[in-house]
Amino acid sequence: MSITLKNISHEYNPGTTFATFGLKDVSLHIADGEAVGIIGPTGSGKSTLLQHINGLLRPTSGELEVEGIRITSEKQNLSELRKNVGLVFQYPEYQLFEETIAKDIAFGPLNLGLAQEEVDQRVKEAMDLIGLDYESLKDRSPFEISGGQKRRVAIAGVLAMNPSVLMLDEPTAGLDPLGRSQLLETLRTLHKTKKITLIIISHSMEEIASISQRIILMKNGEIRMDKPVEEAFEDVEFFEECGMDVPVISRVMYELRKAGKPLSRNYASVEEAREAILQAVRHA
Amino acid sequence: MIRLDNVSFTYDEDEFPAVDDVSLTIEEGSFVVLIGHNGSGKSTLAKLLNALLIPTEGDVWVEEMNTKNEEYTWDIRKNVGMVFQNPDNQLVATVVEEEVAFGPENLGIDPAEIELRVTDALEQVGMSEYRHRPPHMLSGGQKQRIAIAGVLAMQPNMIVFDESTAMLDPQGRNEVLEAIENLKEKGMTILLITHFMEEATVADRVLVMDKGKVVMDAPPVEIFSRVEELREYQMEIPQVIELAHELREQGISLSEDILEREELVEELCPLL
Amino acid sequence: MLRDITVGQYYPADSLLHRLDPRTKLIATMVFIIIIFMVKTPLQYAALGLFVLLSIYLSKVPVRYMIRGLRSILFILIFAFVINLFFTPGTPIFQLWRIRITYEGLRLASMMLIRLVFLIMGTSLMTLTSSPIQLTDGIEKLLSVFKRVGFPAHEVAMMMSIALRFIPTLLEETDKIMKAQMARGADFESGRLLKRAKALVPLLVPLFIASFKRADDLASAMEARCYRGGKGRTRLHELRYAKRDVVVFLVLIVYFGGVFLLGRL
Repeated sequence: MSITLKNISHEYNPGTTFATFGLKDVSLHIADGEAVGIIGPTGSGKSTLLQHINGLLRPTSGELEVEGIRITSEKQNLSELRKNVGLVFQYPEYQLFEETIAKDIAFGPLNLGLAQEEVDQRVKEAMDLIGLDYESLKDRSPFEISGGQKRRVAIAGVLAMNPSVLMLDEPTAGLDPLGRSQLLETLRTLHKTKKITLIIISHSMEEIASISQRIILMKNGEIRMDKPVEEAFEDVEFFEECGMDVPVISRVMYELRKAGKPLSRNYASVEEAREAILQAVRHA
Repeated sequence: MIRLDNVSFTYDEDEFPAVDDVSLTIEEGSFVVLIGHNGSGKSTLAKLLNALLIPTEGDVWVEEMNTKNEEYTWDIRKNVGMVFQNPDNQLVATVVEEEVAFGPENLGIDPAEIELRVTDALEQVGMSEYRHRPPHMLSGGQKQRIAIAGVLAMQPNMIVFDESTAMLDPQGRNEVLEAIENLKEKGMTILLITHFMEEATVADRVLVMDKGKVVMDAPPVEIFSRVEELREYQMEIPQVIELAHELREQGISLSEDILEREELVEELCPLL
Repeated sequence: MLRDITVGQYYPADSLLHRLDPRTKLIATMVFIIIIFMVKTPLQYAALGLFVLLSIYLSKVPVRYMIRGLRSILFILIFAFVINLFFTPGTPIFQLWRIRITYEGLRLASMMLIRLVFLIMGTSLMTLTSSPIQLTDGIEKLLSVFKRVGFPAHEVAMMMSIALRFIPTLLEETDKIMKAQMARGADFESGRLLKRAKALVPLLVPLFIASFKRADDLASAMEARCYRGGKGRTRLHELRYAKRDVVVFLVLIVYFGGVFLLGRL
């Protein structure tokens, strides 16, 4: 199972003077178990892309095949698809509505028509995976807990549907540094242990570099770059041209290399950069 | 100038104080950055500065006016402007110029004078061409700049930014930070509350809050040299500073006052 | 679909109608509505039609834009037409099995249709040519006559303008939450009435909670900017009657008086 997009275009308000392209001729293949980071300026089509992958939006032209289901511009029943592909929106805590945390997380599985027993099991598992204590939290109101915990409850609500693909739009937006790094750690573990396919949108280059194996850069509804993370930040001029920044550490490496220093790559993490610089200093 | 004398604030009688025995002075014309986790009490502190909240213990003085004295409430709020976090929840009007005029209108200022102030305030944040647009069509960064203009039009002595960059994309954040730095150049007193550590490097002074108390209070160079202490408060250390710190630990001689990328690159170059 | 509704929207332009004092427009619209329901003869309708066309021309709002506004209520128009057409007793002019169209029915249905179209056109012209702020200011001023008996004119106007300000925000939010719940398998489209109503809970609860939060934030923001009710408040654009308002009033009296007299001919 995998995700394949063939020449997908999506036009907003077609036929009117407001007509704009959300996506323009996008083709893409994402294999099982990949961790993909999507970057790009606001309005570049990142969210539109995610909404196509779980069928919330239909392409104006082109077709997708997601986990064995074909989606075209024709109307069709996509509940099977939504079961397999979870989408967590920006600020997902705004979608919480039930009296208790357990009930809220159960909303998705119940919509799938599962038996109560199975649903309870799923809720428990999802809370476990996202790092929420089942016993102490299940009967509490989702409106009384901290912002970071709310966000986890919201993500658990999607995880409980047991998707093989999990897509998150700006999962750490608005969280404080502690909440941010904890959530990223949880997502990394989830990816490793559950072998779940992860697709993440983020504005933070440092964050994207730390969680993805592959990076896709979008602009004006098009894919402008698609590279493994190790190679993604080599072309700094290209990022500038797109109105973007590379991770700050990559920028440091780039500037050192531009000054003719013997460093091999624009590493993005502090550890890699430290090792590379130490080695270069010892050689000098 | 603002002075806090042993200020505490408790929301609920039996709960822990959100602000716990804080004393500090914010000098005229200074640029102070206040950092802390969610729930550290930083937003509560901000609301104490313009009488949106009144301390349960201690006193807050704004230009020698005590916020407890209701007679001064409007003078204090006119003096200490505030820009909030959510750009969508603080705009009142359906046209940009009306939005900016809202504060001066409340102060009962003459229409001709309001007109001048609106023009000037919009110019200062670079939003003059949007004067007749509806604010809901603007980007997050532009909305926040309109909110800043709305505060400027009241001609305050000080502006408090209560996590005003938290919900913006990088471009919007840059726009707002640029506007803030412009104000600082013009001598405005600024308190910037944020949880982005990188925003603290340009401040005159950095305050770190934890559990309602101000636990660190020093210029940025000193704050960021205390890496271990910052880690203890689970603060995020900007990556450039972290890299410099780790290289120093490995015996590379880099000066202690590296805050920005350019400084790190400049010091590293001769060593490689 | 929501984008097609032109009633209540503002069309920025520089025209005579845009420059009129909102109070003039409010009163004129009210008088116009009353007259619509008083006229009877075809000649009077023609005169009113001419008035609507002239106003559209003077407003510089494109005719296409006005027609698009009508399209969004096409269903109501057709419904009103059909009901009157088939269910008015009188002299039949057409009969097929049980369906019967009478002369009176045709007449009444056409009149109703024309009245509704005039009504929509007239009121949307008012909102299209006055910004929400001007309208609420106008309403505040008109209502302040009742202030003496304790009517909160300023507060009502402020609530109206804030409601107008937050409509687009709420629409956006509704769309977002709806999509988020659909991603969790919620179904807003199928099922019977009761099931559909139940399906709205996951949408309405978050919307309410978010709205309360917004209200709270907005209250703080307004207080921080020294808002303390209407007392002592000035306005960036104070409303002032101009010469053109007087002229327009005179013209209206003559015109509407003329329409009235046409019925007596």
